[in-house]
Amino acid sequence: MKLLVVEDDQTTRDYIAKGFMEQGWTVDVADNGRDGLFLASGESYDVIVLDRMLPQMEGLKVLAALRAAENQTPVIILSALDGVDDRIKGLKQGGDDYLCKPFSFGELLVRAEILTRRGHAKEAETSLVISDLEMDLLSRRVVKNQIEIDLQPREFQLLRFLLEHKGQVISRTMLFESVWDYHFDPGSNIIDVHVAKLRKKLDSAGGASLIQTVRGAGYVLREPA
Amino acid sequence: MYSVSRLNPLARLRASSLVRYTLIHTAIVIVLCGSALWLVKDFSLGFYQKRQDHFVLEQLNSLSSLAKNSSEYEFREAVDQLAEDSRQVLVVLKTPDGYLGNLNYLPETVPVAPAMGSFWILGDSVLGDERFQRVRGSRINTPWGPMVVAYNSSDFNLFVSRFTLALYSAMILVLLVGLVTGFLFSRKVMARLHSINQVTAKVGEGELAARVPVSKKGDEFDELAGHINHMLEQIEDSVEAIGSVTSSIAHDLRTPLSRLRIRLDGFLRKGGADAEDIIEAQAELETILHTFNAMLELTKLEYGQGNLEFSNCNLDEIGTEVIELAEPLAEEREQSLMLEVQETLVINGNHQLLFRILFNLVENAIKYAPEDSEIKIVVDRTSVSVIDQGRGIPDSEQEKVFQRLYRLDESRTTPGHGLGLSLVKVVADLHGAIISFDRNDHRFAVKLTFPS
Repeated sequence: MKLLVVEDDQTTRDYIAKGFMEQGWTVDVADNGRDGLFLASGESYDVIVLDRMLPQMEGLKVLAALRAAENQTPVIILSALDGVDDRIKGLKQGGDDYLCKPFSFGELLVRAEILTRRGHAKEAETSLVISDLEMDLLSRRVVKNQIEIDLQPREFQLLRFLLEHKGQVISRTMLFESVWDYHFDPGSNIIDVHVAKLRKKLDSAGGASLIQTVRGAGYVLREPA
Repeated sequence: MYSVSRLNPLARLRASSLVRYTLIHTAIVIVLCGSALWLVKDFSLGFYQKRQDHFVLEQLNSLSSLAKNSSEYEFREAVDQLAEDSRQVLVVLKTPDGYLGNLNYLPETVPVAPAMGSFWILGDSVLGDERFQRVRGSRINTPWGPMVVAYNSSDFNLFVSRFTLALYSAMILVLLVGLVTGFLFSRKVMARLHSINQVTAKVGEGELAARVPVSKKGDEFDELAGHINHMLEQIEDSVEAIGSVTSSIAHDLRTPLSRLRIRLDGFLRKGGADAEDIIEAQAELETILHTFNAMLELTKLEYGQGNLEFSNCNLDEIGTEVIELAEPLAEEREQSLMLEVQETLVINGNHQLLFRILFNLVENAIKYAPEDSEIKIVVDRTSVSVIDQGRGIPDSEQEKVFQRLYRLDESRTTPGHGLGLSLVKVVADLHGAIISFDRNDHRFAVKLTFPS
């Protein structure tokens, strides 16, 4: 996997680069928009992490230039701006994901991994499985420990998202954005309540509990050790 | 910084577009007036002159045919006759033995017929104030010498000179009046512009409270002044808001920030921190960031810095989604959550924001209404209400709850940052909606009424 980080703040840049290298990625860096665009157009990357406020050329302009040149490399926009529409604007202009500063490295990694997987054409899966849990996407049936579980549509979407990213720690914000498609910080423990409800339904079927809470980070769907 | 008002007066006058426009306007008026007067002159005096020319040429014509068919004596008789017949006809024949006719010289400059020329004579008119008069005539050559016939009308000449004088005076008058009024108007307009310039220069130097004077006339300048003043008010408000937000952020974040600091100091004293400690510190930081973002966002929304996208929003649908999201929270407190659609309501708004404020209101209701009670979202033709069975907000506090960071005494112990209702207020304002409360025993309703 090859990553390009375009970020003018050295601490953040090094932090991102080091983190990805530890995960076995190859990382190129640029500290301004123009160099970033140059690298992005010349090389082939799996993901580009792009800051919005950059010297010489603004992040969204770099993105626009890339997309205008039909370069479809997935781009994660980083920004200190967190207005209501900033996020949506970023995504509309061709960004694939949007992350607000300050962010945790874990969240950035997960988002990047999700994007690379999206990039590789995935053969149409009709069922998702982990341990004794199976989700049939066609009949929309969920079976755990051989017992069929009745899920509401939103619970089904929530479980599906966790299954699609099993083993990855998913933050509450990511869940809220992906499952509910709302882009704000709900603040309260609303996501926890929904996850708890889903977990309770799954656990009621018996077998090991699969949805684990990672304190300070989010949730992960993982096979019990 | 370049500023016109810092130039010297002469350079200012030269740079002034008003002065330029006035001069251009005056020039155009002069050209137009000149053309009009020339036309008048040509059609009146010119016509009369042509008739005179015609008469002169006719006389010369008959004289020249007479000269061919008669003797010198007969011709001389005819010339004398003509000279005596009319004082308006000037005739002279230059013969070797002297001048014949009523002129005592033959003007050499007069061209041969049919061309016409003019020459000066010393008139004997008592009417004219000018003794010298210009007359028009033409000349032929006879076997006995060259002769000139001219037409002399002292009345007409007087008329011409008077008429011309009147024309020139009128021109000069128009020019003078044009220049003077132009100058006066320019000065007036410049004075008004100057007052606006002075104010904007003051504002440029940081004096945000300066305002442009507005007269009662309601003209373009007052309109401009009104716009500038409105703009200044907005800017002043924004600056004030930034100031107050900065200080309230500082105030509100100081507590959690110092808590965080104490925690970090603790780690240092302990000689290290385990994962549990770090997670707690992280949670503290999350709270700070959340409050910070919420305040920033409120300010942005309030002062229209983010251009929001508006589209058609169906409030029944938003209500359904809110209930779907909030249901588990209500279940925890054994409350029932219902949507009652009396009539479909579709408004032009921002879906995300409308969802958020409705969710905020429902979340508040869940938080503050008693357990095992009923919470309803009611949508009708113009409004959406959240109704619960709690004690609601006391009447005395209803104005204050929209202030940032304001929290009712009894709610200080529940989690939250006191910005939820501020957001509701700001978003309602953005949509032109009015918030009202309705409170009686065991029923509290917050109602958002949208403009129809």
